[in-house]
Amino acid sequence: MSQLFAIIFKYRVFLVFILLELVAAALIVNNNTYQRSVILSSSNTVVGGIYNTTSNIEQYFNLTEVNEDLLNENALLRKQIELYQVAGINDSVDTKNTLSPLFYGMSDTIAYDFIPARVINNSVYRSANYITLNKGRKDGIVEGMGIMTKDGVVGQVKSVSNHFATCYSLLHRDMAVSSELKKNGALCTVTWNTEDPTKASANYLPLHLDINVGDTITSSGFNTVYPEGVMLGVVTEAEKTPSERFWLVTIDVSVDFSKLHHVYVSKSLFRIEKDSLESMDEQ
Amino acid sequence: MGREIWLKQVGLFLIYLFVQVLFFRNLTFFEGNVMVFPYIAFLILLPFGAMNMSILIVGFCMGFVIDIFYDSIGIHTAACVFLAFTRTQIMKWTAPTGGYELSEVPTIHQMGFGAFLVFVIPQIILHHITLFMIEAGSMAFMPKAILRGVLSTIATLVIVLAIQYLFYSNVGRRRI
Repeated sequence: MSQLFAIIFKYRVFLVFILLELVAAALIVNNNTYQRSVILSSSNTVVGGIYNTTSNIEQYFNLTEVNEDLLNENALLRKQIELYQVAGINDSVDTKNTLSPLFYGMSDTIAYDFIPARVINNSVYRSANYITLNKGRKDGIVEGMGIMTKDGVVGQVKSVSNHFATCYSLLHRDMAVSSELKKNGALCTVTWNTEDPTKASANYLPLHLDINVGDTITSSGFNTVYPEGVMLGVVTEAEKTPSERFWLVTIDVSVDFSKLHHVYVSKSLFRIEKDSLESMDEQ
Repeated sequence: MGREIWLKQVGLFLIYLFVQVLFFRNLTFFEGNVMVFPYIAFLILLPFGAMNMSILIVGFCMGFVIDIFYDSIGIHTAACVFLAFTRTQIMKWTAPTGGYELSEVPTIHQMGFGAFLVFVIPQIILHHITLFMIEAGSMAFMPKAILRGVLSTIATLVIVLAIQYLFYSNVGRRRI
């Protein structure tokens, strides 16, 4: 027995090394199941607070750009209000194709609410990229909500603390966005190939469809995360391979992730109702 | 080991940590293929006489805190623990005849340029390649991960050397 202890004592450093590596491996493997343990992510109070302070300083350096963006968006929204009013007067106008994605949900009834937030931490060059926002549970954000800008889909909320939210970027290897080909509504799934932050791929488009460079891919709105019709990107490469049952489609991501300042968190007002109805179906 | 030297190490831990997450985190080159992690210099440059066990635990803590800031839970922890473990071996191999002065802290002026490089480069490269390989996650990206590790090693090394020349005076005593 004493010999056993002697051996353990002799190799104690190695044993502790193995133990610590196992802890690290467990953390990596279980990363996704820790979604609710905010303390291990950048949305905890201390880290979020530090990022908020640094971003408060940094935001002065890109005010011009942000102002221009907001001005452009204002102009766009103004134009759409005009269109909307026209649509209200003249019923025969097809509202769905003229209105901005932000208003799509409104064509029947208001289905989405948008919470503006500022990006206080962002990365683009890793295989699992995350975004931290300066809004949290107190502002009405919950896990699973979508994030977008006027340019398109940005990501999805991963974990929330009272004042901050950590989100999956679209540039995350586990992200998959339910989407459709705008011209004919064919369903596909957009994922990121973990290499280039400006490119993504659209999967599961069947071969009988006709796909051209320049086609637009938008969100499908099926999963109540994003409204229908939010831009994802434009097809830059479409390849048919005999061995595959689907097109190999590469898209240019519409959002410039390296210049992400202000975003909207999309809150589906019918999410709980729709999800509970659908889960009832499965039983 | 006096109490003063430990207080100094705690101070250095915080300085390396915050400079990494507030400044070096934003520093990437060549479309993200080259990143810098000078915070590991804290682990590499712990006193020669530091106990193996304490290096492991300090490495774990450092990696864990960095992970929280980087939202990459576990990845830096694993790489840092690996670095902390291999450091002892590398110290054995690179020791000059008669061994290192256990009460000393590794600095470029006290060790000399060549010996410092021999001591530091293997540790940085091991850490970086481990880090990028764990991060890549699948075998398909391994060659690229190794390339990124090697390129980032050069970038980190330049910064570690710059820190040495800027903040450690040539009589071998710390200024900070």
